[in-house]
Amino acid sequence: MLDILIFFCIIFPVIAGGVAFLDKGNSLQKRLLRVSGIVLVIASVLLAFYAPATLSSSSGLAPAMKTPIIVLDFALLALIFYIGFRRRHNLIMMLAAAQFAGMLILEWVMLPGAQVAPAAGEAAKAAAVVPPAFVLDSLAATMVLIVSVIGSLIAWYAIGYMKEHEEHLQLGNSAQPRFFAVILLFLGAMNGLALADDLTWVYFFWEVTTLCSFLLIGHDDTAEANKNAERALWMNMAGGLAFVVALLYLQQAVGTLSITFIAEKMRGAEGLRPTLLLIPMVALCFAGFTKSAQAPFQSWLTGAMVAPTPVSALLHSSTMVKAGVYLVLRLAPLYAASYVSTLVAICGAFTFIAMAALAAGQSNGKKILAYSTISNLGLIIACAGINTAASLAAGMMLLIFHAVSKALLFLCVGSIEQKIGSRDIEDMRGLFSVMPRTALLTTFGIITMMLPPFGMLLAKWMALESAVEASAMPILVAMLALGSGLTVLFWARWAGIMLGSANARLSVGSETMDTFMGPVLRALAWGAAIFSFFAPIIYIWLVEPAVHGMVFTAAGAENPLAYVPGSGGLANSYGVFAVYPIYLLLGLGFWYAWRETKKHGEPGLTLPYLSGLQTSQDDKVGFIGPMKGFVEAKSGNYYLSTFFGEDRISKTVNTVAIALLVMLLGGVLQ
Amino acid sequence: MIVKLFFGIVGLAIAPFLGGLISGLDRRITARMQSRFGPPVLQPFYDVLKLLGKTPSAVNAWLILCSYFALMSSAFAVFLFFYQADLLLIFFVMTVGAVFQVMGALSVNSPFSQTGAQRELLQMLAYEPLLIIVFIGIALKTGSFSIESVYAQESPLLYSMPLLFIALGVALTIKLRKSPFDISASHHGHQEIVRGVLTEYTGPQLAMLEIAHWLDVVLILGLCSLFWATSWVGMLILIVITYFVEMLIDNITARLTWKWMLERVLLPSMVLCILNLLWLYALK
Repeated sequence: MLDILIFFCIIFPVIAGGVAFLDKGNSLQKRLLRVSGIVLVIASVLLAFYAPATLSSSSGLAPAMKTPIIVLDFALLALIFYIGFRRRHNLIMMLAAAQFAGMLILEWVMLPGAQVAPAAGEAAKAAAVVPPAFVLDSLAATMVLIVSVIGSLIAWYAIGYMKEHEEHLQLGNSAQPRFFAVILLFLGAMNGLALADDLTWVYFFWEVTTLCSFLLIGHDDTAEANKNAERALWMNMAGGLAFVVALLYLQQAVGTLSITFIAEKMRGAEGLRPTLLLIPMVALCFAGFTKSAQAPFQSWLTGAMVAPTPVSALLHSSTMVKAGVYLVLRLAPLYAASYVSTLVAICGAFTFIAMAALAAGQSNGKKILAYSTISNLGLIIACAGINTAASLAAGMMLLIFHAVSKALLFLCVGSIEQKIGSRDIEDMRGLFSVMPRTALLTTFGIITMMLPPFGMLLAKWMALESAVEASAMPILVAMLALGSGLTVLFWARWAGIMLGSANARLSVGSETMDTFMGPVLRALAWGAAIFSFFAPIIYIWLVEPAVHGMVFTAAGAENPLAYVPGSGGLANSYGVFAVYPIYLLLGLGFWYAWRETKKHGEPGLTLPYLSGLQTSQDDKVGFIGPMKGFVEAKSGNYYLSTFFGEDRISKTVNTVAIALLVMLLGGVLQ
Repeated sequence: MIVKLFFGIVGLAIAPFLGGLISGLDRRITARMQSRFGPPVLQPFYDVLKLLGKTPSAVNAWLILCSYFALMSSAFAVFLFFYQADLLLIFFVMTVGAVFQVMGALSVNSPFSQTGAQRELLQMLAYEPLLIIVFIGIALKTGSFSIESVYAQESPLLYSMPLLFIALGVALTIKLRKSPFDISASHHGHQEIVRGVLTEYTGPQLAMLEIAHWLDVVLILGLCSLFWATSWVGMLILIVITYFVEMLIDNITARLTWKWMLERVLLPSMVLCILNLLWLYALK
């Protein structure tokens, strides 16, 4: 059964993508997308109930995948090399060639040599040495759920969006089959990446996501799209190269590439971590940083917004960038209590604050979302670096809730952009009177990102409290505190200006929404609200089991729980996270305020104060200016470009980030 | 649990009266400092009652909704304080009110209200990190974020975190929009009639925000009192001295720009915070 479910999560979307690609008529495509989305959702939910489980590499699905993956791996690198050659991009060619050479050494020189060793031992021992192919622990199950559910929702939304998108761009020859094929392939690869235990397989899926994001970013085939796609490709290939180095190093030093076996070997060493292992860990963290667009690699993700909006939503919420933090989280026990862990935390916290500052200086809605994504990923990485049970749990909660809220926000901006033709938040002033429902959904999305009682804030709260136990705590805490302040600044500003309306009566007008796009937006908003309420249950069901296995303790001792259910939510020695009472009280308060506001009628309607000269004309508010003429009142946000402008601080941010990376590398090489 | 709930409810019931009284005393003492006679101590209550009796008139419905929410979250935060809840939770609930107040101001197309809202956001940017760090400092010292653990301490927190107390004082001044940080709530340089972020809130809505402000005063003075939680007398003396210094600063300084606030106040205060954290961290 597990084999079948894993097949549906990884291989089925790839096949469906292949069919979608070959089918040139659009009718089958829509049905295919809808069906594969439903299949993915069902399979991932069922899979989550099977956790924890492992699937041996010697039986079932795994042996059948072994050879194709090796062949496809080389084919993939060759393809990327070819892309580099076609685009005359030397860096891409070099990176692809270096990875190709590294993988050749690994597959043909090192692995065959290593496999002789267990054969010499006893038969029983040999059976134990067979590494698992797939490990379905709660972390993997969480990731698969995020990828499959959010990813499918975004794919459904894309059906409506791409139709409009192509009509708008007046493309004669539809590129939709390729687009949807890549999206499905992407989802399959992400599931593979989450489930695979052998690092060579993780690497293969890792590179597939790199290629998919390259294809999707360059989808519109404009000069800018191609340039940004190439940038995404080379930055991620640099991470890929670090991954290959880590593979070679681990195979040489530990003799196995199975994550489970590496962890077991370390556990066997009585808590003593071979410091040699830190070098491949740094390499893998580096790969994670590139994929998660951590500073100084943020430019590939901000450049990725040239792609159609569903692509941005996919890259930011459920796929691609989440792969990076997933890897850093997954490996957290392997570099715990080391210099690497401290520096990973500092790198993450720095990205958190730096990207929040960059977001505060932006008026481009998609860019604000992009920087806020990177900032939140930085927070997840900081949590991984703090490396206590409480902080890892906070990191996982961030991973889950960020996916829902960010998908909602990106898709909302997509709908807004198609309607008003701009993604600048200044153009969204008073959006409530134009697109009442979308404006409310966007505002709600923003509120779920930053205020209680919603999950993102709960996770941030957990992260802040867990930071008390961190090493290098004072500097880390200062960065986290300042970063949270900046986060509130750029979110509140955006939410506020959308709400303007000239109506004293609280009524939400009707708005026609696309048959695919509307339900997806509503589903995500409900998801954000409901999951936040059930955050303690999500914690117990998914997060706690995952974190439990990630913290090493002395043999025989029971791991302490990071948080204990109770007190109306979760609690630990540092604080009480009373989710249910807060949710209910604030919800009740909101309901009451909404009802009271509804009671107010039109009679009180006034004009805004403009020094007594206020007047209105053609539904526009303004004042009586010189020569008794009507002057429309206009205002704009502070973007504080002298403090947070992109051109002003990007260089400093990148310099500091590179210095931190050098410290990370230099520290272990010593 | 029941006892804490009782404290919470009683505290919340008393807080508006206490806050109004403090506001009245503040106006009176401020007047004396300026060689004026000043209004009666109960004047703030008369003002609010008058505002509550006015016919509501708002530019849009969001202002009404937001003022309800601002008041409710301030009340909830005060309740949580007396309930001895988690410090960061109190902070986040307080943020809800602040954010909604700004969102309401931003929903109106008036330059006064808009500028005030932008400035209020910058004030939030200035006080929020300070408050977070102060709370983390308390947790580092007491081993928990709950207020209960502060009361369990044997010696006053002030001894080991004087610099954090100064940072809290700065945060308090900014949060309460006292001069030199009344940046967001004033616009007309002379008459002070256009009150920035508060410009468009009128009648009952303005009254609600005023009550919310009283509650905030009580909450913030309560937070200050945590630094001498070992005796009632110490607590009272600390609060009185702190608030008197606030009033003094309010009267002897002129309003400054947000740039000055971020560069010359937030950054040095952050340095103070980090120094104090390092101290606590080294002792731990």
